[in-house]
Amino acid sequence: MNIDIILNRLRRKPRNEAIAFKDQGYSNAEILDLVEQWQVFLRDKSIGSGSVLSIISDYSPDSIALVIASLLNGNIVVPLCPAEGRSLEEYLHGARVRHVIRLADSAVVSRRKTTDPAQNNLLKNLVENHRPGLILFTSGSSGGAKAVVHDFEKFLSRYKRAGKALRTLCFMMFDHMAGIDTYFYCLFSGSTAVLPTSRSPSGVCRLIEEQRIEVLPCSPTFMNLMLISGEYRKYDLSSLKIIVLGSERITPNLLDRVTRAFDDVAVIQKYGITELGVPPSKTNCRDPSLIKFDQNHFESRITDGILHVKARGAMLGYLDAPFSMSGDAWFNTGDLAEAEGDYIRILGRESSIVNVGGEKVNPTDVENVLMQVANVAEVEVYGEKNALVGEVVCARVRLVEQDDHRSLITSIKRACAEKLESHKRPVKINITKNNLHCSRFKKSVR
Amino acid sequence: MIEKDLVTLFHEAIDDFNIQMPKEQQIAKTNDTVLFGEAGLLDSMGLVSFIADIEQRISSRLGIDVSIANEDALSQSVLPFRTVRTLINYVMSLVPQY
Repeated sequence: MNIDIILNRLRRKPRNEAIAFKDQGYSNAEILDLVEQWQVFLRDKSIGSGSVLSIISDYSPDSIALVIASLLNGNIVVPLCPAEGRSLEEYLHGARVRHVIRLADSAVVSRRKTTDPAQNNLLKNLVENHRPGLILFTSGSSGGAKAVVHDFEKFLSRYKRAGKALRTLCFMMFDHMAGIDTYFYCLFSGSTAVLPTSRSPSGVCRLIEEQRIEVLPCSPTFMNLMLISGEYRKYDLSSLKIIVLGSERITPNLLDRVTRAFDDVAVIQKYGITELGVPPSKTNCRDPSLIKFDQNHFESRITDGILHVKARGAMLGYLDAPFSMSGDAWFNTGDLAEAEGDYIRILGRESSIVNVGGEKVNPTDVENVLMQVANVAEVEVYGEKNALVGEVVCARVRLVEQDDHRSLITSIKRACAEKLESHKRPVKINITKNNLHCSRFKKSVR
Repeated sequence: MIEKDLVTLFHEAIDDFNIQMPKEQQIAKTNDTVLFGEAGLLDSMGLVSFIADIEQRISSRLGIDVSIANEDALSQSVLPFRTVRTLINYVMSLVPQY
């Protein structure tokens, strides 16, 4: 069993620090103790094998130990973050959750009325074969959020060869594929997982300094916020060895700025999707926007400009959508991509393409130009219906410092006239004071 | 909005538009300047962009959203986008008068 690899690793080096949280280190032995305590808790609460269990929490030693205990208990685990603006009930309903454990200062357990998992073929197979499951939700950028079912044991097989032990910040969310990938990589590799209590640029920079963090995985949106905040200059970030960018397209402008700000730090890219996980990959050292997948785990091809993949350890299927993975099926990722030699470059989401009079415009290409204009902090480019040409490109822009809007719009229009074909230029530019990213540090509209 | 204000707003929009354009494609601030169609200065994207700018200026000045490039405009026998004057007249018909 793959989960035994984690337990054996924790047992072999009991004194090693597994988790750092709120100025406190937790050894492997302490995490094993916590796992046992949570196994007892699950038994006491009669949360049996095969039951769909949601854990509502952010990262903590307890939430990670509870996920491991649930795995050992044979549960189908649904991690959820208590984020604002989301209807948790909708997700609990969508995943057919029977038991809920909310972790805050204490654990609050509740039981929900729901249909028997055996009524769904995917869940039934897991239950009958005594396999633990994992249910994650897609972001819903192309349609509503879909519940994705994984065989948790099979899911973990990709980490068996996880090697490098480095102090790693678990920045990506607890219920996000990239977040789960980060902490399981840490558990398998013997890395120390540093859990954040704040995801602001200053909070993250302070934590890197205090905890001597070596690996910072984050989204390009967060990296942009960190760069424009200037906070990274106020702290000693010399421990940092690797910045891992993922979950959004990396634009040339961001890449240029991040490599200038962190000139002795390796910038690598990770690609992952909720349905297929995060495959082992190699980033091109000359151009980190290029990535090559380990074809043993993740076969890829580009068809009509869209990345299609086949992956081992892929999802079993969607709970409520007519799709299931068969051995030979190519999965349409919905990501625009181009090939360069053995490598591929991800260009953004197909669903965000703006069609201007039949010409396709990728918003991230436009955003890349707008971000080069002085005093621009964040941008969001999107399409709007137009009677003359079908759709037009529009932009929302947040400034670093308040300035005369009219002169800034003129600067932006000039930059666009120089660098973009006419159909790609935003016809409406709105200056806003609002953040243009969501609480998950991704673009609001994607 | 009275016509004089709208003409001023158009002239400001033309000034801004011209900054981004080469000399031969700049719009003269006269009523007869042909914007779109035969011998017009603007291609379709130029027109879309110019109209969007007018819409944004009206929105920020009057706090109302007008859609100039709408189905009604496109169904008229003579396009209201032909000259500076026809466009001003058409926009006058869309904004409240006071």
